[in-house]
Order: sequence, then C-alpha cells, then structure tokens
Amino acid sequence: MIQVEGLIKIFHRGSVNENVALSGVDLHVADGDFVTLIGSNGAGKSTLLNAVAGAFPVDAGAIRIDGRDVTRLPEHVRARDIGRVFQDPLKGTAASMTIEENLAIAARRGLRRGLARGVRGGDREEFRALLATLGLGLENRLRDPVGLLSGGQRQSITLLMATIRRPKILLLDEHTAALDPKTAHLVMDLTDRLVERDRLTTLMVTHNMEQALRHGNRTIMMHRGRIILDVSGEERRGLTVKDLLDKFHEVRTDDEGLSDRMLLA
Amino acid sequence: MSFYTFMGALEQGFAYALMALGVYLTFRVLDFPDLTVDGSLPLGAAVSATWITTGGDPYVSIALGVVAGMVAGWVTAFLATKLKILHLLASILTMIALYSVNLRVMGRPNITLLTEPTVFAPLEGRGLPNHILYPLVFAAVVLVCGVLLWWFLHTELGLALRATGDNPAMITAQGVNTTFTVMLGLALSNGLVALSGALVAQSQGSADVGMGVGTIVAGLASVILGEALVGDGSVGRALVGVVLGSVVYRLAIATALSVRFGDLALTPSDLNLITAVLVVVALGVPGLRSKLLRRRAVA
Repeated sequence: MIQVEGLIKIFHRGSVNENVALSGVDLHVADGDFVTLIGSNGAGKSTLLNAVAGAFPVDAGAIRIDGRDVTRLPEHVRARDIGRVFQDPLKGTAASMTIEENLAIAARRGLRRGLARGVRGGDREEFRALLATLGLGLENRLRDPVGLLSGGQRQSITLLMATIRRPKILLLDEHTAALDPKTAHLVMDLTDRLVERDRLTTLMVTHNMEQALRHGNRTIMMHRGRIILDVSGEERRGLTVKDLLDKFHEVRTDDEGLSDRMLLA
Repeated sequence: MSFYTFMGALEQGFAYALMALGVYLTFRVLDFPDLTVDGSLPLGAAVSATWITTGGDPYVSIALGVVAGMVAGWVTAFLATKLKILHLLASILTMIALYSVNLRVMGRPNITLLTEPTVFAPLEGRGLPNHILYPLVFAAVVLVCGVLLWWFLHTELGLALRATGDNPAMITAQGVNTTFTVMLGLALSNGLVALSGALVAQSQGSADVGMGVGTIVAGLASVILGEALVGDGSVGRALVGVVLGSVVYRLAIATALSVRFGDLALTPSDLNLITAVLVVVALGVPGLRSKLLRRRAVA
C-alpha cells in the first residue's frame, strides 16, 4: 500500500531554472494494485516514482508505505521495502560482477550483510530455477559477468532482483523504453508474471499508452506535477489509446489558452 | 643485475604489494582515486617506529600502525561522503594533513630502528641470510593478506563493497548505505597501506617522513601492470595480478637503475618521473589506440 499526500517537489528552487515537478500530488495505491502512470515529458511521473523511492528529499507532503511514514527515511533504508527497475538497463545490475553475485546481493535486500559467504551453495539452486523461468538460457551462465549480457537480459535480471525478496512495493520507471519492441514485450510478460505471482503493489511509469492500458488495473495521467486522470475498473476497460491522446491534447490546449490569457492580461 | 639486487627488488616488490592491494581496493574496486596512501604509508611507519623506540612491542606497533592507517582512510571517506568534497581533493587534504601528523608522531623527520627489536629479529640468524629471509617473510605476509582480501570480497559485505564501486545506484536500491561501504573500503585500503609502511620501516631499519612520496603512483603502476600481465577477469586474477605487478614494477626499476646510456645513468631520484611516464602510457595508450583505430576505420 502506498499513500502519498500533498507531495510537492521543486527543483532549483529560487533560481531561474526553478521547476515545480510535483505540485501537490495525492495518491493512494491499495495492496495488490498495479498502477500504470502516463504523462508528457516533464509531467512529474518519474519524479513521483523517485520521491517514493527516496532519491531526494521532498519540499512538502508525506509518503507512507504500508502505513509507515517513510518521508524522512534515506533511500537505502526505504529500499528494504521497495523493488526498483530503472529505464537504463545498465543501472540495475553491477556489470563487473557475475549473475549469481548480483542475484545474491538482491537476495539480501533489507537484511544485515555480514561476513558470511555472499553466494552460498543453496542459493545457486534457487537462482538457477529463477533464471530458468526467463527462458533465456541464463541458468547455465551463473558465473558470467553481467556486463556480457544484452540490455534485455540485464533488465530481466534486474526484475528478478527487484522481486527475489518480495518487496512491499515495486517501482518500474519506463523499464522497457530502452529495449527493442520484441525484448520489451518479453520483459513486460515477465513483469506481469512476477507481479501476479506475488500480488505486488506496483507503480509503473510508461510512455507507451497502449502498454499503460493493457497492463495493470488502474491508469493515472499526470500533467504539470498533478494527477489529472485516474481510471480503473469498468471505466478503464472502455478506454482506448485515442481517448488518452484526446485527454492529452485537451490539457495541452488548456495550457496554451492559459498562457495566452496571461500574456494578454 | 646482481643476485643481491634481484632479491632486493623482490623484497620491495612483495613489501609494496601490500600497499598495491590497498590501492587496488580503492582505485579499482571502489572506483575512488585515493591519494591518502602517500600519507598513510609513512603514517604506518611512523606509528610503528615510534612505538618501538619508546620500548613497545614490534608486533603491537604494527597493529597500531594499521589502526592509524584505517583512521586516515576513514577521514578521507568522511570528507568525501559526509562533507561531499570531491574524492580526489578529499584524499589530497588528508594526505597533506598527514605530513604534519607524521612529524608530530615521530617528533622528528626520521627514526632509526637499526638497534631496535623488530618483527624480523626473531627470524634472523636461523640459517637463512637476510637477503633471502626478508623477501620470504614479505611474500608470506602478502599471501595471507591476499587470501583474506579475496575471501572478504566474496562475503555479503564484500559483494556490497564491490557493487558500490561498480554501480552505486543499484546497490543503494538494494538497501546498502554507500557512505558506509566507502568508509569501510577506504579504512581497509589504508590499513593495508599502513601495514606495508610499518613493515618496510622495520625491514629497512628506519621510518622517514618523506618515504610516502609517490606511493600512489607506484601503486597504480602495479595495479595496471598486473592487469596487463594477467587480466582482471575475476577478483582472484586481479589480486594475483596486483602482487605480480608490484614485483615486476620493482624489478623493472632495478633494471632501469643498472643500465647506462653513454654518460647518462638513471638515479633513484629519477624514479618518480619514470613511474609517472609509465602510468601515463598505461592509462593513456588504450584510449589513444582506440581513437587511432576509429580514425583508420573512417578513412
């Protein structure tokens, strides 16, 4: 469960580059909800995701995960409850380390790390079984450095890493945007499988409207740091990509109208 | 090169391999160029020599030297992580400060240990001449430290440390505080460097405030030579490479010092220039080569 209340984030406050990325966002994501988040560039989607993950302090508002206020907790502490996959396939894994080492790091997320062996004998069986579900043949390459793998393979491993210890919430930041269409499709399939398996509370940012409607059970559109559309259930089922595009143009035109008025005033 | 010179170079190679392992830990594993080592090497020597000359046990003196080195590394990490000072600058600040600290510790620019008990003393006079004994002792210490380091880098904590240097965003998302891992890594690294300094002081019979000059460059040269010789495919290979690199580096220097070009003979005072050129070539050539290859491909 994610509760976001009155979240405000202003970058470069007080400078000419001042940018209100989040201007009072309220969002409640129930347990097991899979929310897709869309919006134009600069709408605040990724900022919202990063604010929940704790990548930077927010200027106002509160963030709760499963009822616990995490607003002031640093990123690495929040990470105990959060699985994350980034847009850049290189960002989720350590290239110089082997597949099994990467998975072992993720398998200890939220646990104390001591002087026990990083990769234990029992781990390997588990990792092999997990990797086999990808169907990429990686189960026989446990000791290969991750740097040798393709972007799609690395993103698949990152997904496994984000979910190997069941996270309270899963944050996906355009995690298929940098992949070719076929690989993107594979990674989305895997995402659906993993989310379903553990009934994960998920927040997924995407640029792809079709993806936003096909996956998950709720879609949110952001614009200028606010949520301007929030659909689920019946209403969402009837929605088409065209409807979403129309909504986009509607708010764009509103903006222009506003700025015209401001100029005239 | 005489047999004595050869064994001397071997001894130095192993003695400074401990330092090079420390440099590997920061420069390669943590991706943190740490110049603290120029100060923490003489710090280890200074603490050890001072402890011995005031009647202390030589083994305890080494432990104290290592602890002092770890504190120095922690200070650099603190400056870089908590105060957000650029890592290179943070390490230079600690290095400069250590020069004064080392003079304070010793109370004078150098301390002679020739008549004092050292950790080598109990081993001497048991059939092995010193020029064979010393390299063996250092090789044994390097072996122990190398194995310990290899083991540590494969523990849960060690994996977190390696991931910190490889991909800080990823390891943070996996719940690791990179401030902690950087502090741990720099403390371990400078502990090794101080150990190297303490042992060198005891073997050569003196600690000198200037003995740390160029440490980082020698360490880098060893790390890079090691990578060229055995590659860096795995942690184990890289560690073997660092030790080998250190030995080859000292042998190369001994060789360079024994050749004459007509009237020109290289002296120990030329070493820093030679080493710097060596490191520049090793760091610069791969980039230049790929640039040239690209240009040729275009033409």
